[in-house]
Amino acid sequence: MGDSRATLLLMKQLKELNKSPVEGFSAGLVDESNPFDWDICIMGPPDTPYEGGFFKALMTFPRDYPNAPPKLLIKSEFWHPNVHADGKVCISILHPPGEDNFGYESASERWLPVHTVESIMVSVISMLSSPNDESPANIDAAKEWRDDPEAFRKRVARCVRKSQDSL
Amino acid sequence: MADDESEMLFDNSCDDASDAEEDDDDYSEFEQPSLAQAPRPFRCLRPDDLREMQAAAVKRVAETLCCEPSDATVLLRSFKWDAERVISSYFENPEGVLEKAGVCGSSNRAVIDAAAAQPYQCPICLEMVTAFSALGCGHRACTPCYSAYVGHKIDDEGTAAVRARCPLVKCRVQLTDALVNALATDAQRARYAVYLERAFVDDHPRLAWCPAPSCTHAILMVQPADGAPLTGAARVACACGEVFCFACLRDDHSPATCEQLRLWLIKCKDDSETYNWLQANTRACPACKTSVEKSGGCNHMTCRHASCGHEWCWVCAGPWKEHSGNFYTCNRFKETDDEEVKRKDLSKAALERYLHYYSRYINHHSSLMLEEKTRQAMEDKIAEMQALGSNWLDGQYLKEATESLIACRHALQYTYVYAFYLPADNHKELFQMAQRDLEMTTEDLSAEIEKPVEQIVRLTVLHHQQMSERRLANLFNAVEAHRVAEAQAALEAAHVPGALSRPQSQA
Repeated sequence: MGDSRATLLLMKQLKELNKSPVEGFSAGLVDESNPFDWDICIMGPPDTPYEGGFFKALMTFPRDYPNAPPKLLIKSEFWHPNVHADGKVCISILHPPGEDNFGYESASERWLPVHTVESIMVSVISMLSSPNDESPANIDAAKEWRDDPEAFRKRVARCVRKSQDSL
Repeated sequence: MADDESEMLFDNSCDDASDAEEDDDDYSEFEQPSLAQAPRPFRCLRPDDLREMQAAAVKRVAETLCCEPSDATVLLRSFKWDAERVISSYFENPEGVLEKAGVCGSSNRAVIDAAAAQPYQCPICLEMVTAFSALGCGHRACTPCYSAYVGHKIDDEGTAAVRARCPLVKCRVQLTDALVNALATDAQRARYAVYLERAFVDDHPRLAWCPAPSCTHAILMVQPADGAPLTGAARVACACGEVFCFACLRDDHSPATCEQLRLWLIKCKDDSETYNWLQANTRACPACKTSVEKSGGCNHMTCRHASCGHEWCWVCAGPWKEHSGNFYTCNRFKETDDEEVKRKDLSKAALERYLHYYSRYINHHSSLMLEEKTRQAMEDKIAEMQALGSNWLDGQYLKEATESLIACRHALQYTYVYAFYLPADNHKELFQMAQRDLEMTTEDLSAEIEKPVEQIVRLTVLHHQQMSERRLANLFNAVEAHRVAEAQAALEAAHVPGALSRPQSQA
């Protein structure tokens, strides 16, 4: 049942997003026949160093969605404390709940089946404006963000320019 | 829980079969000082007992607070299954307790597969539906989605499924077992029951699973009357025969403490990989240098090499004839005096000291590894005696002697861990004397029962066995007395109110 249920749900979300797009990102399928791989374009939120950028990303859903979370990979060059050097986005709601080693309090911030492409992207955009430096995925970026905001801003600005060039 | 104490009938005391009587006597002497810690009583629980104990706690809370049993379970879980604390905390601050545990007020009940009057959008599959299930928080999801959510938790998340919450963002309400059981498949329900039981034992501070492979029993420490918390090592024996330390779940390691054993094991892993092998496997005969491998438990070595026949001690490699009198010193390490330490390279001295204790520890340890072999050899001997005309029952004393021997060796190995961490003072001197006495009689016992059948004298075996048991008890008593004295000294130094209980016991 997993497969068809996931397909139905993803197609429904796609239709909804096409009908009423959400500010801050656009989404579509990589290949029209496969609802599990999504092309995402993130628009850098205003009043952040990312403003003006158009960052390409790939969202991959597992077959047991919505009970397991998708993965989000930013393909454009990117510099952010919570994004791995290879582009993998690390935010708590994308972590499978699994055996919780960090105390049960954080469980509600982890993956839940009610999350949709939209709710995930809202979290990602909020992550861009307020990085979480307590559990950084990219330690260098986190250090720079905290210790040398000017250098951090410059580096992000370079990513933004590059993303505009590749359009 | 309240009923633990009422079932004291089932209590085991911690004594080993071999030293039972002596321990009882000696411990009673030490019950006079108020801090003395007699072996903590415990019970071995089968899966049925665990279910019963859990049900009793749930019933008590559900009846007192007039709530659903499944809500009582959630409450108990967040209070580590302390029913009295759930009840008293609840009466102090009902809302706070419910919120902390993730339980909804009793006015809202969980709804399982009901039909809504108006179609609504299921937050998971985003379809318009009427069927829904919800917890007391009222967050609806359609029943197929809810079932899939519950099923996924059980299938993929192991014991964590027990603490799963409402599937809606930011809702902290816990899934109840009633809802899970209504929505899960049969196989999932069975697995969930296993998880509930596992979580019960894991969460309960006075319960621990028996670490033996495939054993399903758990050990319950009986709540002391004064409500004192569980501290320190506690030797417990499971009905399956496994003997372990309740506090650290490792092999019973008395007289060493859990912390000493932990440090010791780390140290052994770091320092002695090579030495381990060198020391544990072969020794050269001190007279003829032939490599000798020890294949039985006794330390009295007689070189079988042609024309050698040297008798020596496996532990210190000294001649065996020095070992029966006062010259027996192979269990002691002489602390070198300050002058000498200064001259020596300090790290070298430390290594030397460590190796001294380690070689003796590993020696008893590897003798124990042959435990099964020793038991089998005893069976063979008893069979041989039967063949020589004695009856089966007559031979049984040998079995008991073997068990005593194993118990003594078991304790001896950890006495070296304990001694390693002792400061060089009077207590250490006394302890090492007790240790030496025990080691001597243990070797005597070992030598006696390893003799060929026709040379074994029953009275001699019994004598050595009794001596060993007595000395083992003495050793434990010395350790316990020291622990009590130190605890009292610490109390007096700190001037804590607990020290007041002492004059009472003297009066």
